[in-house]
Amino acid sequence: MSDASQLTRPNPSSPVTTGETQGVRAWLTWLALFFFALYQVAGFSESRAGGNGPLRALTGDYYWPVNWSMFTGLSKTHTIMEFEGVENGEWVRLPMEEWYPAHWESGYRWERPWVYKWPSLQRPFLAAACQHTDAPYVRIVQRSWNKVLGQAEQPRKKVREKLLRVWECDRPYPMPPGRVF
Amino acid sequence: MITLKHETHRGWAWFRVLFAFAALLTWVPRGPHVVETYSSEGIPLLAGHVKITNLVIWSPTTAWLLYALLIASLLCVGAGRLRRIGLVGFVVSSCALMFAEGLNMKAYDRLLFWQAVMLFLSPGAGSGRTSGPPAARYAMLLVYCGLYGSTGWNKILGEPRWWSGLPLQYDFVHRQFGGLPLGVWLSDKAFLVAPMSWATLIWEGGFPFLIWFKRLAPIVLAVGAVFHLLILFTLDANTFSFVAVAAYPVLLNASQFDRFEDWVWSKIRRN
Repeated sequence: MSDASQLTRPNPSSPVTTGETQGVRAWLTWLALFFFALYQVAGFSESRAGGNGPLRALTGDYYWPVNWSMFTGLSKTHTIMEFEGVENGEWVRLPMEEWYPAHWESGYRWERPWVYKWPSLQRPFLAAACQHTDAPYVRIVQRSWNKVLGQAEQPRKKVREKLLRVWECDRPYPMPPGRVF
Repeated sequence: MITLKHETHRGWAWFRVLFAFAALLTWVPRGPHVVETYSSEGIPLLAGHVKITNLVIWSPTTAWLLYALLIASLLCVGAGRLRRIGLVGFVVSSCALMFAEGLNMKAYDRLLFWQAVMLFLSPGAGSGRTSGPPAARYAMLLVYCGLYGSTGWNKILGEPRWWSGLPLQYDFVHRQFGGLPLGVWLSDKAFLVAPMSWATLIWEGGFPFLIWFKRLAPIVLAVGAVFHLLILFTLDANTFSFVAVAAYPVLLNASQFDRFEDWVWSKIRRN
């Protein structure tokens, strides 16, 4: 992968320390580091406010690169998003995973929490589902059930359902910038 | 003592190679889905913090070109050739792709971004042989203080049940992030998970304070390495552990890293 010689000790006779940044340049460096430290603190403050805090309201959405809230909350339920289309008068599950197989360790794109929090993000996924089915209507349903500790199998028991949105497939969906699904 | 005395820190070279490895590990598996995820042939969304799709949606060809640039940049950085150009190429192409996708700029993606920036700013752009001020190393330390401190204090202040271990138990059986054999086995053993949880809170919350003490830094980082090893075997956080550990060599100061490297080589030679 790398030039191995670069990973070995440099000339052993050369000292580790060879000089020091001084004067205006030193002051500027310390100042830059100070503001970078403040930026980290601001990122923490915004993450405490769920990414929607007073700093963001004041200055804009500039803190996401230093928002590091990971595995912080307690979640006792599994939540999935499923797409369904009307076939012969009944809602039938649509295989979105086959049509759009890209996924991350957090699941498929439409399984990101933003999608079920923000309706505007549900529409393009519904419009995309329409591209692969003859169903006149498609819908997105959020289903959740309790986690079971101590076992890999997590059976769907006592599933709670929440209808998020129904979409008429004849309806054009404007995509940015000016593209229509 | 924190000073701007110039140093030749061999850890930058190790960091650069580990960075390239972790970034390739992150991005190569995304290859098969480039067209679906990042181009007009997928589902373009007006989403994310930087809504690039307001201006442009990549065509499949452009998405492939950006992906090719990203991989080539990482190979250059890893091989130590055209390092600065490679780091710029990685930052530009990865941001162009992730902003187009909109929903999945993960913690390890953001960390890779900061790592690339600090490598760019380091003496010799991660050569490990060039003398220069340690400002980029301090900045990398600040990023890690933010990373661990933020997530640790969010747990401490926001979810007191972390002290019981309960959130971690349920994370281990999370449909997406959990399900690994060791995590599932641990998930109903509160007497084991509770101490792990305490250790997580103390280590993450303490990191921003303890890492600046020269004598404590090696211990803090050794605990961090174990912490990431446990994450690797209990939670599916993709390449987060590899990415996070990649910069550890420069979180030690130059002389500490020299001693560590000499110790590693002596062990290797002995065997």
